[in-house]
Formats: sequence, C-alpha cells, structure tokens
Amino acid sequence: MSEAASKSPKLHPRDTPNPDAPPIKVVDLHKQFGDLEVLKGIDLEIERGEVVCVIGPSGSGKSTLLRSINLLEWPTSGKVYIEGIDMLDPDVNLDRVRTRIGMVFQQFNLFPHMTVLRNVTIAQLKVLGRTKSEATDIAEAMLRRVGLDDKLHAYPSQLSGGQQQRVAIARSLAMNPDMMLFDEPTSSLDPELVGEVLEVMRNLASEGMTMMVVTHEMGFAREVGTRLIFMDDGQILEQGDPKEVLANPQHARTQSFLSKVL
Amino acid sequence: MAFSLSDIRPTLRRRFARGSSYTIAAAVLILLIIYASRNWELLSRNFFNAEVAAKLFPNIFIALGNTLLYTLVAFVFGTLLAILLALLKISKGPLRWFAIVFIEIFRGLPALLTIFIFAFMLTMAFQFRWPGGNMWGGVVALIFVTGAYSAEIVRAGIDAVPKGQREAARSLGMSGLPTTVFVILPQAIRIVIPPLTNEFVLLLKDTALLFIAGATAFQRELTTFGRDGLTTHANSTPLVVAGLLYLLLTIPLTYLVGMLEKRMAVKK
Ligand SMILES: Nc1ncnc2c1ncn2[C@@H]1O[C@H](COP(=O)(O)OP(=O)(O)OP(=O)(O)O)[C@@H](O)[C@H]1O
Ligand SMILES: [Mg+2]
Repeated sequence: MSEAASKSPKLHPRDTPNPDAPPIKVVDLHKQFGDLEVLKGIDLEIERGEVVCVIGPSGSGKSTLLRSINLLEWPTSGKVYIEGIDMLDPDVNLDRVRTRIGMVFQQFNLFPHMTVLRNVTIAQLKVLGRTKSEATDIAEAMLRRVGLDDKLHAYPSQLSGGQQQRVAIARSLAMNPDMMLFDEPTSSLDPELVGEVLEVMRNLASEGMTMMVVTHEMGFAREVGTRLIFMDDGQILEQGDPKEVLANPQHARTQSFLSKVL
Repeated sequence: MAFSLSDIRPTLRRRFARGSSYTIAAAVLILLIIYASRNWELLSRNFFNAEVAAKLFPNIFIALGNTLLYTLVAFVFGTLLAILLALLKISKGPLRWFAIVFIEIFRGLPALLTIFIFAFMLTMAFQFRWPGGNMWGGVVALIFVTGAYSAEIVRAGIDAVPKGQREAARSLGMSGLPTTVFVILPQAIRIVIPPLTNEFVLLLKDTALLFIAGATAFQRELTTFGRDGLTTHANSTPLVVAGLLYLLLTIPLTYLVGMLEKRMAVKK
C-alpha cells in the first residue's frame, strides 16, 4: 500500500490556508437532491473564534448546509472557502483540508470495531502520518480533555451515548482542527447525558475554537453562541446575537418556530 | 401488536410444509427399515462392511486431509478474490465491468464444467502444466467459483455498513482506500460471517467435483477415495464411510451458521 504517499499528500499552493481569511465562507450556495431544492442560495461568513448556532424546522436544510461545508454533500452551485481555500477547486486536496474541519454527528459514528484509543488514533496514523507513540500521547491528552482517559481500551458499545459523543469529539480534536462542525450532537442522547456533552463544547468554545453548531439546545445557543442563525426552507431567514434573536425574533416564521420549541 | 391474516398465513404454511416433510421423511424411514430388516445380510455386506471399512484406514485420513486442504485453499483465496470483486463492482472505474462479467460467468457456469475447463482445457489450449498437477487447476476453478458467489455476499455486507461510518472517516481526512480497508471492510466481513460460513460448507461439498480432475494417489479427496475404494473392493462401504465423514463436518458447521445468524439477529 502507498502508505508513504498518503502520509505526505502533495502540497499544492492553493492548498495552503490563509490565516487572514475567514475559517468558513459560503457564497450563494445551492443544493438540489433531484427536483428537491434543499439550499436556496446561502451566504455565510464565519470569523475565527465565533460560535455560530443554527436552528430551524426539520427539513429546512441545516444538516445539508453543514455537510456542504466539508463537502460531504457536493453543492449544486455556489462556493465554499475554508481558510481561503476554494473547496471546489479540483486541484485542492480535499482530504487535507478536511483534517482541519472537525465534524461531530448526531449518531456519533464511532468505529464500532475499534477501541476508543484506536478510534482516536487511526486518522492520526493514516492521514497525518504521526508515529504510534505520538498519536497515542495526543489521543490520551484529548480523551483527558473530554474526561474519558480511563476508557482507552473500551469499545464504543460499552460506553453510554454521552461518553460515545465525547470520544467522537476527542477523535476530531486529535486532528488539531481549526474549526468544528456539530450536527445536533445531543439530539440522540438521553436527557441526563446532554449536559456532559454540552460542557465539553462549552469548554471548547471558551478556548477559542471556531464552531458551527446545529442544535435544539436554546440554552446553549443563548449562553455560548456568538451568533444565532434561523434557517427555513433552504434559506437563512434571520441571524444575529442569540439573545436578541431569541428575545425579539423579527420574522413571523422565527416567532412561530421559537414559540413551539421554547 | 396487531395481527392480520397475511401475518399468520406464511407461518401456517411453513408449519404445514414442515409437517408434511416430516411425514414423508418418516414414511421413507419406515419403508427403509422394513426393506433393511428383510435384506439385512445383503445390505450390511455391501454398505456397512466392517472388514472393508477397516482396510480404508489410515489412508482415508489423507483423503480427508486433502478435502480440508482444497476447501481451505479455495475458501481463503476465493474470499480474498470476492472482496476484490466486490470492491471493483461498487467502484466507478471501468474495472467495474470486469467484475460484473467475471461474477456472471462463474456463477452461471456449472462448477463441474469450470473445473473441467481449468484442469484440462486450459492446459491443452495454452500448453502449460499446473504446478502440482491438474488437481490444482481444479482448485483454481473452485477459487473462481467461490469468489464469484461470495462477491455478492461481501457486496451486500458493504452495503449494510451504516453510511455514517464512511462519512466519519472521510470527515477525518481519510481518503477512499484507507476508509474502505480500515473502517468499512472489517465491519462488512463481520456482518457476512454467517453466509460466508455457509459458503464454506457448500465449498466443502463441491470439492467432491474435483474427482474429474484426475488426482494422483496422494491427491485424492474423500469422494475420489471412496469411488476408488468401490472399484478396489467391489463394495459400497468406502463411499458410505466417505459420506459419513462429510456429514461429520457439514452438520456441525450448518448448526454453527444457524447459531451465528441468531447471534447477529440478537445484536441488531
Ligand atoms: N441524500 C439525500 N437525498 C435526497 N434528499 C435528501 C438527502 N439528504 C437530505 N435530503 C432532504 O433534504 C431536506 C433537508 O434535509 P436536512 O437533513 O438538511 O434537514 P435538517 O434541517 O437537517 O432537518 P432535521 O432537523 O430533521 O435534521 C429534507 O427534505 C431531506 O429529506
Ligand atoms: Mg439534520
């Protein structure tokens, strides 16, 4: 196997992140699934250290927007820039850029056949080319950060949902991402486990991580978010300071959505 | 939970079918016993002859060993081939078509004909010898046949791995090949262990078809050994003993498959 090749991906000038560019910039993004237009022209710019929370009714395109940012979904048209890198440029090494974008899923998506330690080291070993001891040290540090350094040798099925999600966060952090995307990270957790995951996310935010969080946790959005985006029917209908938006929604749709969830 | 007639019907039908097949089996058994008790002398001399049976040992162990060897070799390489074919078939490149054609051909041909082609026709057409003799040409044929059948099994296993697994790996920056090798395949193989074990049982029985490949004395598998014994001793006991050895292997394996399937079902 071409292990060596994957360890040092070809460096292309257009691959080089620009520290002055916004971590995430989306321009006139459209996404269609067949005849269904799910994103209808999204413009979005996220500054370093921002914690952007995204809310909106089911099917409004929140997940699709998040997944378009690291190109798990391929946009129908529009542009996505990560730290100034044009993600749709065919010369850009996508895998390389993706290591800088952590992603956390509603269903955790831990690798069930691997121990916690292996879950957190595998991409470090296969993508970043770190040595085993380097990767293990980093994994242990990241697991300590999420309070799970005593579970190194457990399998995901032996952990609670909250613990699994924290491992998933540690797995992303181990790649040293510049930003993190969260897609309803607490939605499939039992209520008593939501807190421990939000706590980890709150710490991340206070350490200055750039975050984009699709969530139904209005408390988190209000206290931790620096910006709240309300999406409806494939568009950003309203955005602003979370406290403002939650207290004084401008749009009738936002008002009716908030009256249902608050 | 609400039941409707259509829910009950299949179970009833299955129960009825099972009941009737039990009745038929019992009737056949009773007839056999009646026949056997009248002709016991003749039967035991021809089919259960202890003297002939004794002469089969220890050489029959070589044949048993060969059966297992051919089965294992064909299974290991066949499964590797199946993984390769499955990956090609779900890929988007032009090799996809190679996999599709390969699978269709080797699933569509009778295994016996494939063995014949590999053991004799190819060697004649291309003027070469299989290292180790024609027998191994036959084993290569079995590798291809198993590879073609198991490819569909493996592909189903890959499809059964949740989509989120690939997405998680890709979002960590893993490219296609490492994602497949380290994340998808290990899970897919685990899912298809029961049907692959079943394939192993089928293969074990199919090694009997190698009898047409023309084995040397030390290459004979159980069926060839039994048939040669039939000629040597003018007696059917060798085939009966060979048959019993097959059953000794296949019946426990079949139960193992059932157990594995049940365990998988519980896990879900
Ligand atoms: N791969 C796909 N193929 C076809 N349609 C899809 C696909 N993914 C999403 N959709 C559709 O796109 C629309 C938006 O989906 P999306 O998952 O982005 O919504 P969401 O805002 O995240 O909703 P939820 O709150 O339920 O998670 C939905 O109508 C969904 O059915
Ligand atoms: Mg969603």
